[in-house]
Amino acid sequence: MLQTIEIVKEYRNKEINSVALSNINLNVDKGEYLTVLGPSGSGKTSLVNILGLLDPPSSGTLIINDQEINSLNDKEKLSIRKKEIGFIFKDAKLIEELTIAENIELPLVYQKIKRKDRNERVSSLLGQMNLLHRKNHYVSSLSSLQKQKVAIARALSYNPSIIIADEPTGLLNSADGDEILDILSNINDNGTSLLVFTHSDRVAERGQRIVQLFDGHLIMDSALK
Amino acid sequence: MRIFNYIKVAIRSLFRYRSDAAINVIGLSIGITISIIVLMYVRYELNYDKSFNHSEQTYRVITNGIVGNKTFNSALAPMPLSDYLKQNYPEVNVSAKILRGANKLISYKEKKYNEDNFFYADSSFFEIFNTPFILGDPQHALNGDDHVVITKRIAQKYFGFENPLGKKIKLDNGLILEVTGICEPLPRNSHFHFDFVASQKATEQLFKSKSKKHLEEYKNNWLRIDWYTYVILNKNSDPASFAEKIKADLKDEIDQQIRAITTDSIDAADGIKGISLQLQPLEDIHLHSRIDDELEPNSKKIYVTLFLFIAIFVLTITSVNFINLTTAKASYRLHEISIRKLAGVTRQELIRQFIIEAITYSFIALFIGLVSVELLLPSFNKLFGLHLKFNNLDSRFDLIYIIILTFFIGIISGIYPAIAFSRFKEVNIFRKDYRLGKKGFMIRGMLSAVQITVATFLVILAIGMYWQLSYLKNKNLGFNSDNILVVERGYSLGRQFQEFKAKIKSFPHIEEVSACSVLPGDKATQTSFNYSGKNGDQMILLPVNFVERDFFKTLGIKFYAGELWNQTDKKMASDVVINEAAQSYLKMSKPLGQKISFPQSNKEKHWGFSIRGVVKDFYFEPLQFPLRPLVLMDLPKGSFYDHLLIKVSDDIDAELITEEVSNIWKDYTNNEPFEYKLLNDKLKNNLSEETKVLKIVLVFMVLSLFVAWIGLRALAAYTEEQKHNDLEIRKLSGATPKQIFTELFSYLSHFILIGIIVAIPVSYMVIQIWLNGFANHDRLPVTIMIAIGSIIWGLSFLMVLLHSLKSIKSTPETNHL
Repeated sequence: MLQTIEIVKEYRNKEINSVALSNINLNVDKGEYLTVLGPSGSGKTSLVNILGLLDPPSSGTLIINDQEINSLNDKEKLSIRKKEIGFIFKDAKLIEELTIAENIELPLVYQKIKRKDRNERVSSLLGQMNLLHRKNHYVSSLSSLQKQKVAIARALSYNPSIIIADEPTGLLNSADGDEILDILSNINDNGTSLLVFTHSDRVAERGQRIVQLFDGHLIMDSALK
Repeated sequence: MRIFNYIKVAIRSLFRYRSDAAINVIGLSIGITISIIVLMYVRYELNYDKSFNHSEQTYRVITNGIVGNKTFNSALAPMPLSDYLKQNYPEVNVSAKILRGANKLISYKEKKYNEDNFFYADSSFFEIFNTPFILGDPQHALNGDDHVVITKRIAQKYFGFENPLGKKIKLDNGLILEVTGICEPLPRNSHFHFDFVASQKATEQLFKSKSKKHLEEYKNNWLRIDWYTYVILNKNSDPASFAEKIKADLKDEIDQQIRAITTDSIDAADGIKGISLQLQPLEDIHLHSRIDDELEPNSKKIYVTLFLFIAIFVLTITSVNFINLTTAKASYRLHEISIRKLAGVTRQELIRQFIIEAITYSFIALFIGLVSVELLLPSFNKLFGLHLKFNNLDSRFDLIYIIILTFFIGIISGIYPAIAFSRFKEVNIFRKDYRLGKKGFMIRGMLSAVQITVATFLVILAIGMYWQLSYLKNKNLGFNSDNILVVERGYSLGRQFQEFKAKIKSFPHIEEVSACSVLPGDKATQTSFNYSGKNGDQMILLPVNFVERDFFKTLGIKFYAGELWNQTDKKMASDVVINEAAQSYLKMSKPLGQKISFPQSNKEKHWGFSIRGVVKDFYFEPLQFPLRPLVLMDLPKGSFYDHLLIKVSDDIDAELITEEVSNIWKDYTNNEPFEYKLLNDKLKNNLSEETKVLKIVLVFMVLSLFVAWIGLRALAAYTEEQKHNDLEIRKLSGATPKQIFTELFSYLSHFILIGIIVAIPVSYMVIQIWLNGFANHDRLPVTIMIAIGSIIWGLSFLMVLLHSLKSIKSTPETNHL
């Protein structure tokens, strides 16, 4: 469902040319739970940007659901991202001026989903996250765990086929982190492909498959072991 | 429906960043408040005389010409003109002439009041100056010989609850007039205002009482220029060609009459070099007319232009502040934007969101602005002597413009942040140090420089105006105006003037008593004289003031040569006094004993005068005008002075003796009302228009300084945001707070400097243009302008210092580096 072929990412300025990713070849199957393990500077963020269609690769090919992405314009990429890819970040990235429900429904608003349908979907997701009673609260009143749950609900709101989670437990204690990882496992159990980027072995071990990045190179893929 | 979400988020964001949002919205509301008031003022000024039905086709006929080597331009026109135009030109739909009444005391039964706004007019007056009638018929109200129309205020004053129609009022010139109409007053923004309009035929009664011949002579005298004449032209007629036509048609008539009054030795062409008539659009009078004998003081177009520019500038700089303050907090917004982008928002939707947000803020600012206008307008009107209204029908249309303007401000203010933010790439979501580009910083800096320019310009302008007005107020006028009481309607004393004078002069604190026909500080009327100069016999125009003998002593006017005229029993004075300017104008090295005379059509009755004295120059007219030559002479026997002058000793407040003088006055005038003013107040009043403009500029100056302060604060905040990492690294490298501040201020200082440097020459030029309207002026020295610039520089330095104190003293952050 997601494939990278010889992906390279370089950052250039007048004087320096630094290579963030070198010839990354990766296949992610439908419903797979993949973790990408790597220390700081290994190229994880660059890979998140490329796989999440936020930044194009310098060279190489990216294919999502049999469609080559490189040839698409920004609008077409946005259209794919809106349908297929959900994001979860370390710091939840919620909008403080919006209520919990409004944060979750944000992608649905931009997809022009009817208010009634949005409400139903938001209530259902909040129910799953045990946050229904906080529906109309502002995010500033939530704990870090609750914020991350809201972020997950938002990522699930439009049923993407792939979820990209970048250090999803990075700001949580181990107990809260485990709870988030359990939720992510449940999502994966329901058929959504899951790509978790982490520097933590403990988090990485929760995946069905681990790939390891180091200095921009894919140095290990557990599937190939 | 999404629009409501944007508004909702905007309002929540406003509450979340309360202090920044408050400064942002207050800044914008100040801009909107100023703009609304200025636009109301500009609209008020531009709509002068536009309320009349045919104002676009209405013209005032004015007179200009050259007598001797002096030109004159007068708002007045010859008496026969109005009827002549009506009878001979199909282009003229309506024509009316009006005359300001010399009489002042009006009585009805026991009520007696002095009135200033009394006019005589043709029956067609209300066809031109249409104003709603409460009682009576405007078409016929002035048809009779003794009719008068009064305003509702006057009706209330004289008749209370009685029906005024048919009631008779008495004038102090003997006329008895019947009230035939009660009308609304002319709108405030009309170039003149009346309380009474009597039928023109009533003036004929005054002549008839002398002789019929006198009346006929008057009615046919084209050289007696003392009526205001207004015409409504047909829509299709061309005013310029019409003016040329009447000029050509009347040339013979006027020349013939000129020849009749010139002596054999003065060629008519040399004496009065053509008196010609011109058309002046009614709607142009208030802002464009710069001629003598205006009915009321006019304003100047430069003030309207200046205020319009100020409104545009203030709006611009408040919008710039909005942009700066919004983008200064870019990092907060970029976080939100990145999330929205990940959620699938398109660039257009983001732009729409930011513009709607800016419009929402603009409307909140508008609401505050409207409330402020409603609250401030009465004080504004009182302070500046204006009559702006916000709750009339016109204002509702204004409100539509204001709403459109607010949309516009919102769009202008929101468009830059919208475009800048929407360009933000999703990929930057992981960058915590993301800043907007350097190009944006340059634009913002230059816009801030514009704000500094406007604020500095207004400070220099206000101080420059104050400088000039102080100069005029403190200028040595050449006479002593202190502690002088002016009593109006001196002619009420009639022949008893000398007796009255002797009586009040015996009071311990009264030093001198005298009288004159034109008060110092008023424009003197020019009269033509014949005189034999070096170039032979000439006809010249000279301002004349009829004064009583003790006028000079009362005002402390010094004689330069010669002496005062002697008392004479003759009907007409034979001696005159002139001023130094007249001596110089007449090129008389030895003026004493030289002759000047009134031109008369009856050459046997040639009235000649001998120059008996020359007084030192004194400013007998408003200081806005140049000092002119002047002839001073006694009034002919049987005529009486308009104004009494009472010099009170300096050890007592002149107003303390008014009760005593009033009692004597009432004894001598059969209980007529006693009205007085202080000469100093009257002279101060001559600068009322300039003082009003200065007050308005001062208010704008304070507000623009406030807005500039907001702007500088926004720029400082933005600079801090932009240079955050740079400054933090410097802190880590051991820079002291002073070094950090110097670094921060160096980013801003050149913009402040540019603003100040641009403002100084611009202010210099505008002040120079303004001063050109004053014959006597003193420009603010350039050194003071530079000093003001330096103070603004210093204030800016302080402002940035105060704003940045917290951040430059804080310990360096490492997590964002």
